[in-house]
Amino acid sequence: MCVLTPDNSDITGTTFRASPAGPVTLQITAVTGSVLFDQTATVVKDSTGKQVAGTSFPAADTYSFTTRAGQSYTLETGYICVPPNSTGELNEAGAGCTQLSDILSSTLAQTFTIKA
Amino acid sequence: MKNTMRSILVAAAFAMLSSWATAQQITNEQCKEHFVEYRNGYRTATEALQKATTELEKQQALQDQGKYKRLFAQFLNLREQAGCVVNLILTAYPHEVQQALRTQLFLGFASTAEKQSGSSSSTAGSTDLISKNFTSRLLSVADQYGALTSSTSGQTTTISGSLDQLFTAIEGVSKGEFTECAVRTIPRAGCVNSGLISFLGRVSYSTSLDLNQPSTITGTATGTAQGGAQQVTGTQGGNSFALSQFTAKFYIWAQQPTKQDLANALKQSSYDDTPALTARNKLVAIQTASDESGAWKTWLKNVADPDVAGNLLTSPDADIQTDLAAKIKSLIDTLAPGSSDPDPAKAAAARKPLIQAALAYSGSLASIAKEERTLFDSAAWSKPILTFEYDYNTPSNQPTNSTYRLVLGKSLTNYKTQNPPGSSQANCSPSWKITANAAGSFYNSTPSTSIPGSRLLRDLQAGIEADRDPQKLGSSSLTAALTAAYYFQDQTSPAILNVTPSSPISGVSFTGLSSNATQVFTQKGKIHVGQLKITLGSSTSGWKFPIAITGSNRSELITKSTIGAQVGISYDLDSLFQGK
Repeated sequence: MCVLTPDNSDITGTTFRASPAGPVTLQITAVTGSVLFDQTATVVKDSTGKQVAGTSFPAADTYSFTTRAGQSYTLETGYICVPPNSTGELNEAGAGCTQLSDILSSTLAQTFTIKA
Repeated sequence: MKNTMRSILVAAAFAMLSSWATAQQITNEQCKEHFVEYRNGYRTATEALQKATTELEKQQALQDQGKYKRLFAQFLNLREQAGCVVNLILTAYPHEVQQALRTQLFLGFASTAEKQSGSSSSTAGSTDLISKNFTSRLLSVADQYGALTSSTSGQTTTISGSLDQLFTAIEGVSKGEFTECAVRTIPRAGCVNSGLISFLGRVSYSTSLDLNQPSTITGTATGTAQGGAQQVTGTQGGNSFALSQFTAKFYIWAQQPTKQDLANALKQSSYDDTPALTARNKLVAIQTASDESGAWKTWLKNVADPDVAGNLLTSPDADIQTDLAAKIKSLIDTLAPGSSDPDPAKAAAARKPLIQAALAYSGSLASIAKEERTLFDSAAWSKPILTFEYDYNTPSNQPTNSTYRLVLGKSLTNYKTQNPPGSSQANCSPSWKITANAAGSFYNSTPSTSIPGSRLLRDLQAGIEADRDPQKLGSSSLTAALTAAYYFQDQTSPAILNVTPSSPISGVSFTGLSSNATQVFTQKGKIHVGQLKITLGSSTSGWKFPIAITGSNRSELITKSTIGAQVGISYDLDSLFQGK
């Protein structure tokens, strides 16, 4: 089930609303080569800057975390492109779910806001 | 004519002084591709919206519009697509970038220290019994072959490398000025297509020189003899070295690593993202500081909001380069206030921190790309790899021959067993690698029919080797790697030595040899060789000292069993580019 929708009021295009609150799973879809999460650089933090507990990487290209209603989170992602010219997309896992961003070889890391 | 020339010169001088590009190019191919894709995607979605006749079509078109608008805004955001924004920033002031790069590149080379690598295979004086798979893609396992390795073993010196390694080594220290095209963010920086690097990584070479060439001293009598004594003047003769072997290897088959292989290799690698993320965070901090007054977000709205006049998402294709140049100039003014100061020196000083941060990010991308390629190579090594090797051998005092060899390599580490899902830390216990060889060696010319049993096929070879990864000895930087190997050779033709009775072969003496003999041969047979080897090295430098004990039932020339020891020393010049 898709839970993320883009917040169009944010001109930066980096804010997404999670509804209903609960588990969120993100997945990288490789367009060329392979793109993996840099697991040391990918974290979700709450509004106080504290890392959210219970996050996981079920696979090298999948990241899961849980949101609570009324909370705002900062999602920091890091990527590894192997071979280095690989590209991909960051999507909410599931058919037809929202695309959060494109990942290029020079992207390295990204930051998003998730509001539940 | 003079006036025209003067005008051109003045215009050129003005362009250099202003140092600002009036038409902006996106020099990173991936960024350029996506920039065009977002604009075209938004245009197509808008057209679809106008043509939509059903609510579903309308919703789909609106969704697409929103997606391309979102991705376009991200494209211009240092938090999201730092590489593309950096590319735009650095393209705006090429002269200042070149100035900064000259300094950075010099400092980069000055700060790198030495590193290492090892010896060759199947050459006289080598400590290696078995040939390994080696290409740059397998650098982590082919520790005897670096980007440019000079190794001395016994009396043989070998220079070896793989064709892509010089490139990747330079990439690591080039600060982004020479890199794979996919991560090139500095305009006019040298870059090589990733596909070409992958192809070059399949090809390796090595050349061995035999330093044990016999030298002669010729004495010429001078003056008159005094009793039983005579003064002479000596002159040195002979060569100091000769080509012993040339080897070319081409890896012909490898199973592609899966995502899980890549993830496992990542856990075992020394991949370190800190410098790159630090560089990225510095850029993000500049953007954040600028946005404290809302300046950056205002700039973004003007550039990425299709409802604002003059935005870049919907501006006409014909004007895009000029519009982009103007908007990037305004971005630099936003991120680095003072960049438009009428005094060029003050303006350049205001821009300097931003340009330096952008260059740091570019440099880190080049290093990351090198790490990512190494990671890919490690993952590839987790699968069986088949290599074809050709050796052109010119052994001392023997007919030249060619060896055609297949090399199969496989790591035995069962990473899944060592690191079950859910384990928090990667278990890096030593792994074993198996390498197997099968080869046929042929004389390059048909041997003399006067040698009984001789034929073009010189011998058939097979061998297998197990290598344990280097492990640290105690708390020191000293490492030791263990190797056990077995080699079999079926001599289908007798070993032949070229001789000149008047000029004996160094280290070989004959008794009762006919004065007109030009070749001698020995009884052919089957050779079994076993070897145990320990390779001492250092985790902080590039030296390696292989020490081996080898036993065999016979050798090519001697039909009795032998046991001997071999030692060597090797150094990998690749370390010069590693910053160790």
